[in-house]
Amino acid sequence: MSNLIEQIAICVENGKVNAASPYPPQMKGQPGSDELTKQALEEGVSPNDLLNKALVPAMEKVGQKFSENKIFVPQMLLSAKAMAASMQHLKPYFQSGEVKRKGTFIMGTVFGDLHDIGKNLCCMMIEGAGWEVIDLGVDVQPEKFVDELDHHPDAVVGLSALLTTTMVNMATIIDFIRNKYPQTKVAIGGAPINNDFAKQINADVYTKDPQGLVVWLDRLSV
Amino acid sequence: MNKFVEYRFSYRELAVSPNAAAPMLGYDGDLPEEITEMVREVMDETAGCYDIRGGYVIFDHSHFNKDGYTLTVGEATFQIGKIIFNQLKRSSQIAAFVCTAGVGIEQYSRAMLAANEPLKGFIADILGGAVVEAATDKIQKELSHNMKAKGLKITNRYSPGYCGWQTVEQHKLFAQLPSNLGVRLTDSALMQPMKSVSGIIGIGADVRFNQYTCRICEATHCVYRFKKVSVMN
Repeated sequence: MSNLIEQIAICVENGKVNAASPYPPQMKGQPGSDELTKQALEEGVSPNDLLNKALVPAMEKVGQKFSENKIFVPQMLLSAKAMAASMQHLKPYFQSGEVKRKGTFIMGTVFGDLHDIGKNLCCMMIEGAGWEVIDLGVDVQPEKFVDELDHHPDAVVGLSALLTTTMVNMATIIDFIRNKYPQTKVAIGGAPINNDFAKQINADVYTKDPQGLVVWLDRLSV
Repeated sequence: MNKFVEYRFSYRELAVSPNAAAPMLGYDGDLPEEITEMVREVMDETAGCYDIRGGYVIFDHSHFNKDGYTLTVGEATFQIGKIIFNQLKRSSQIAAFVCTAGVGIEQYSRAMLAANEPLKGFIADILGGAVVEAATDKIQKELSHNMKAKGLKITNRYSPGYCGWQTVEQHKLFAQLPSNLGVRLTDSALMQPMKSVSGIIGIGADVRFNQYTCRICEATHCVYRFKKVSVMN
């Protein structure tokens, strides 16, 4: 069983989704995270172990390698896809409550901004770190964040913006959120953002890459 | 409004290679073979997605004011900042340009992201950018060629959002361009289709084109600087 867990972790780390997937070339023809996760569950491997001993550590390695410029966005996305294939099999266990996640993360690109690639990348990495991610999409108004917080009051919020003209909307959203949920933690990110701006608008953290956000979130969930 | 010189390009004639996407995908040199294969696959699937068009309009009169580093063209006064001001100040004319790859590539990218094909979605997004930059390069070359015939040279191209020129000034720039090109601005000055480029180029007998200008810019977060890519070919 531990062999299966190791194999799944290797598949996720290397972006091997399923047997039909030609990536990575050195694993061509071999089963991927999709088949192996199904097999593991059928053989009685605990879904909690699959999440916490295979998927989360594998994605942690991926995030770490990305932070160190050892891999680039394409490899990270292939890993995220392999992780998502495994997650699909774990879905019923999340719904039943048998597998608990670290917390809920509500993510959106601020109103006025339609960029979603960076946001999506963050969502995948955070989900891979064991969090439930609620992606509100792009051009998100402050009310939508609060509506979602009404359902998940302990959630952490993430805001993304790619333009200097839209980053200022983060301040509006944070003020609106804190008006009803003063304790809510808010993380921000995007090309024009920096630490000074985060302090200026009372965001709790700015991270330059998804892995930085995962590390910060993990500290919160301990 | 002065005459807008319009161009249309087919995707094929731009001849964008997979490696054109390499810097924005994070790679310093050529793409690894397996990623090249994936890029080619996306290129094949998206070849029919593009509606590539753009052009420029030349303003014969411009006024530079060092106090505030402004440039007045037509009825608009742009606060272009010190960096761009110094690159353009010897210009006798200014060309305002816009170019778009169309909305199809953006739609493909979003569809792939929604279908749990994040890498394809990401590659399409990068390719859309590479295609519109390649088309803008062609327009810039055409402008250069046309000006050379008159004994004039051109500068690099500069866009709101780069080199200290605020993105919000897109609104003033778009007021100088024809509205029928299919590119519109949102209230937050975001161009739609998103894979569009706009900006200005200086023209004159005493101006110069620099091969790489990022070292003069203070925008340390800029993706072009990070990848050491010249925006102006």
